[in-house]
Amino acid sequence: MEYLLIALVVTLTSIGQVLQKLGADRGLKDASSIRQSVAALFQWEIILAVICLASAVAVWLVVLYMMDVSKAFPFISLGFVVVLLSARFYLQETIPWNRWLGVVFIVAGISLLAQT
Amino acid sequence: MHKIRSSAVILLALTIILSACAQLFMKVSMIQLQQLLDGTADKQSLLSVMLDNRVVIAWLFAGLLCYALSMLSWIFALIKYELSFAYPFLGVTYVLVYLGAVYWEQIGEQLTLLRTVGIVLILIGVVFVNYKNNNDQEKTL
Repeated sequence: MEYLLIALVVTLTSIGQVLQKLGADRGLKDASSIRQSVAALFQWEIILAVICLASAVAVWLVVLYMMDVSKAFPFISLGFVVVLLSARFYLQETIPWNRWLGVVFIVAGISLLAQT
Repeated sequence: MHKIRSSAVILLALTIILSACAQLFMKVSMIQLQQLLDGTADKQSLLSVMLDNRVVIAWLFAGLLCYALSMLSWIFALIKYELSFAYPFLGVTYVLVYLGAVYWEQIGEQLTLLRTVGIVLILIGVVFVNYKNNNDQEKTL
């Protein structure tokens, strides 16, 4: 149950970050005045990103209610693994070896934490 | 030049400290809430229950405030630093949260070998994931 909720937090956070990036690329890049920048904050990508991140925090509080924070918090680094795998298999990007190695270390560390 | 650099270091340090505080404050808030719901808190009068309630909300608010401020200082830090350089430093947050959770009496979590090794491995992993190698450059540019 806890692990399912952590997976949900990681997913919501990753989606939120991708949406922020999409929103920033679409609206903020060509904004030339403060007024345009402020208007760009209210496009659907950014609003959806804020909703994702806010619900991630809400779910995270439930996780903290159930688990040690010193155990739960490092699980957030799973976000790297999710982003890397989606870059490789969804976006067809080439991933340099050091990133794979990093992911191996992260997964190893998390499996140790899960035992505690 | 030197002035810009040192202010970026401060922003990075601030980001790390604020995100660690956010986690610890939210955890304290949830511990208080747990005690309230378990009935282990002093429930002798309605006033004391309400007071406890306020403690939950106060820590929660402090946690969320730190969380929001950490994002803000992170964005400003990124104006000065490249992401691949700055990100590994955020790994320090894992260490701070761990130490805080162990030594803050109210949280009082266990310091165990397995957990310490796990966090060290994750730290190494975060550095490797963000390490900028030469084959990578044409992709990121």
